[in-house]
Amino acid sequence: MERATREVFWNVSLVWFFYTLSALAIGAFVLGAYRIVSIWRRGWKDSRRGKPSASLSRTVADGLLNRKIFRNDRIAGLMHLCIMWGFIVLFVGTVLLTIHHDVAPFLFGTTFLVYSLVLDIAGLVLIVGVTTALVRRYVIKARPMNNLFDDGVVLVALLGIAVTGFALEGLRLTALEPFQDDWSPVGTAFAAILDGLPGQPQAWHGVIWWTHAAVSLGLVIYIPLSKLFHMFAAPTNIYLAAAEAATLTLEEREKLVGDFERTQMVSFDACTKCNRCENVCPSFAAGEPLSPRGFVLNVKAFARRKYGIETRLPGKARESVTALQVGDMIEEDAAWWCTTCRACVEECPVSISPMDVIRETRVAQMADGRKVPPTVRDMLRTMSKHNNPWEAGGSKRSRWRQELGAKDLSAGDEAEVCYWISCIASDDLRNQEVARAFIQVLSHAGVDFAHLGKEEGCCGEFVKRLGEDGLFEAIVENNYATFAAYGVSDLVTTSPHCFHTMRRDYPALREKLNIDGAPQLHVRHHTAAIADLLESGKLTFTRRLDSRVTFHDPCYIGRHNGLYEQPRRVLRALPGVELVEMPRSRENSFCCGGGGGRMWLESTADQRMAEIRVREAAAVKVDVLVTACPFCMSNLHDAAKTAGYAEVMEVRDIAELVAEAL
Amino acid sequence: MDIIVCVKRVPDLAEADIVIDRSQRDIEKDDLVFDINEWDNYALEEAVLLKEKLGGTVTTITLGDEDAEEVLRRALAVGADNAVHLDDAAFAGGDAYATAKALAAAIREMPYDLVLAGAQAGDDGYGQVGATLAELLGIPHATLVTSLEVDGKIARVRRELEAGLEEVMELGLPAVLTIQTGINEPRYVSIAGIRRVARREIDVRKASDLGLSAAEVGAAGSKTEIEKLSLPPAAQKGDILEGSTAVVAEKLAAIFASKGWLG
Ligand code: SF4
Ligand code: SF4
Repeated sequence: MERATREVFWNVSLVWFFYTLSALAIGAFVLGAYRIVSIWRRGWKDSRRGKPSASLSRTVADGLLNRKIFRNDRIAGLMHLCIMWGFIVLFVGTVLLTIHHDVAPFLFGTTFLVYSLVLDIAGLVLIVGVTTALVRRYVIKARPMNNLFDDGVVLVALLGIAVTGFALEGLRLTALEPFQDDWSPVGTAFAAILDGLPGQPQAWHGVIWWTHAAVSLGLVIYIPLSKLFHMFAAPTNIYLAAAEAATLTLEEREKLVGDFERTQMVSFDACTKCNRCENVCPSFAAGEPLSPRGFVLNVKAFARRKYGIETRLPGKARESVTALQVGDMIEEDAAWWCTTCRACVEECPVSISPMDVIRETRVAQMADGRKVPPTVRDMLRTMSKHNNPWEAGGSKRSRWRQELGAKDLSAGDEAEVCYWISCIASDDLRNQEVARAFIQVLSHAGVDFAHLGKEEGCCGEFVKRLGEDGLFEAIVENNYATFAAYGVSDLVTTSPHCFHTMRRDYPALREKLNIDGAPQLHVRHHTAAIADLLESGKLTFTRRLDSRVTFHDPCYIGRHNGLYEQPRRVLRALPGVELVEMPRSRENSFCCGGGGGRMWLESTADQRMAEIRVREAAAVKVDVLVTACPFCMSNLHDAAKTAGYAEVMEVRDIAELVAEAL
Repeated sequence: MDIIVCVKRVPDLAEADIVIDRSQRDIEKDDLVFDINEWDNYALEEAVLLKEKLGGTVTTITLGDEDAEEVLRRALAVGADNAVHLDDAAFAGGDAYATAKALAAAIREMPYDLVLAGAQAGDDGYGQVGATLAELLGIPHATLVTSLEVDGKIARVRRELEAGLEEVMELGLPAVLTIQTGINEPRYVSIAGIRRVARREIDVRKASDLGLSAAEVGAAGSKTEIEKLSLPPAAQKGDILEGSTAVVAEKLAAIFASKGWLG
């Protein structure tokens, strides 16, 4: 039997011309890619921390297996896997064929047959994937998308390449005496269809061959000019972003040149405009002028202009771009709307953090000062003068704390654990009740605790989220001094924001700023603390609550710190409490609108995030909407009133339910 | 366009508990926080906005002890080019006239087209330094300015009058304008911004540098003297009506009726 193989340039004349075009296309690709990478390099050098092995496994999971595309949307995951692997296999197939033809012939016999079959399947898989994408994007509109020209071009081109590829195979099979059809099932099917074409198959083949070649080479050139470049940028970003971003001190920041970190510069090109982040963004949902996708692309456009080819031009053209400021690029002050809820970060399939990019532009706007919203500006000034975000009122607050009846470190008492009350629980009437309830729980469990009385300032969490890193540094130093003075290292707090910043932001600065005598902190959120007390049998419940409740996961204990189980364990343990879940819970929780400094920004949108959330809770017919954060409490409590649910549903902190059941 | 802005460091009294000290002529300042005078902050912003639009320089000047330097640093961070600090024990205890005299002596030596000051200070609230300064410099002035446009050698300003009325006037430059709050939105000054100007030179001058003797400035050179400070009588505590909306409304109506307000 004749050995199975195939003539590579069967029926093709002007092969040299094809080689010339290929060389040109590859040259254009290299130039395009070089342009992008040289823009990346204008970001400042990363000082991220992480294990290469962890980054690598993340890259395999999210990059090669598309783990996160499957999140909340299986069809999208399968679709992308088909397109990606179809493309990769066909590409590798083409490279092998080139080797076979130009370097070392090896595609003979069984090897060739397996090769044919694999490529046939890959082509079919690619067609299935691309067709699904086209239908989802343009016909059934599976999700709100922001369709641009290149989204369509990319899909149609891929489809075109696959279909013309099969047409060529089919025509070749009809023209030659097929020696083995079974190994090219799709090609054979095409052959059957194309057999009926009028005229010589050779003539058709010639035309289609050059079309196939033109579209394929065109796509090679188009990769660095379109979102297709994500095939390189996305895995790079997934790998880099798997390591933890470094906290920069003011001093370190002063030495940096550039507007963003390198990983962030890469992330702009990793973005495929999939719009998932916008679909989960609470600010966008409320109708505010923020889209995380839009933001990332805006900043990308900024980076392209500021660091693009214009910078290689002489004189005026160069000056006009190098003077560009991040702040000038952001329309409608979008940066200030972000609640830092982290939903976009959780959702992005390629590890982009629009949230961190937004914070970085806030840092730039803070330094410039002109675009800082007046309410934020006034709060920061109050903060720097009075060590709390609300007007002075220090003496009132200290008096309230003294009346709590708990031990007070600032009055000379001593205790094992420090209850960090937080500013909002000290000043807001509704949240004062939560503080009292938690104190009742701690006392019942026999915990030896005290608060800092008049010495408790502000943790500064939202100062950091707002991008005023200098003030945050001063606050952290100040608080560490207080902790050192009163021997505090074990803290528990009812605010997820105080908890998060002391757990995540403080240690990094403690290390870098060499703060004298600063203790290593052990901070717990009260949900975790109550769960621990429950486990160790320190809480005995004597009253049935008889209510149906749902839990609103506060962003800063949930998505930011992964405490999903603890509050649920506590709620399930309460006698007579039936816990039901809202459709969006845990990682998918919908922000109340209180984070990221948003407590100091008035929204002009028609809807409030908290009202959207309260409606969701009402829809699952609960008596109590439970939360565990003072900002959530304030926002949801108000929203329940304004949205008309005050009579049917209460908003309560988990500590209050526990206290009631004791 | 060269602009001079006069600024002052004052205690923040917004919600402070004010205590009169033993001399009865001043208040206890130990527990107070200090900052740039609110009105001066608007004047400073206005000057920097003008500079950003028309070019030129902004020089900021203050009279006060060594702590006053922090408001000059802040001004540099906002965008002032130069800072002058009139710092001399002889300046202490001066009234508006003595302060204006020292400022005038310093400003006279500098090139300027416009002098801006806050309409008043948040601590003593005299509102006199600006006008007195103009008189001493022999140039026109306008007080309580709520908007400002500069057109060549002319300043077109809007002034706040009583009862919501406003006055529009033109002044030939150079002139002194005292700025009312709300004329602009002062920018935020970050800690990073202040750090950036930490090493900038500040021009410190004593009375003798200005050609003034100790008798001409401070308490000795003043035309007024504080005899005694007193706190205003505490406002009477209001009654808080309690109960449901209906009950509260009824109680309120009864009060109105008892006062004879219901006709
Ligand atoms: S962190 Fe939340 S609010 Fe901010 S952009 Fe992302 S999804 Fe939107
Ligand atoms: S940032 Fe991520 S989630 Fe948002 S559009 Fe880009 S790729 Fe999609």
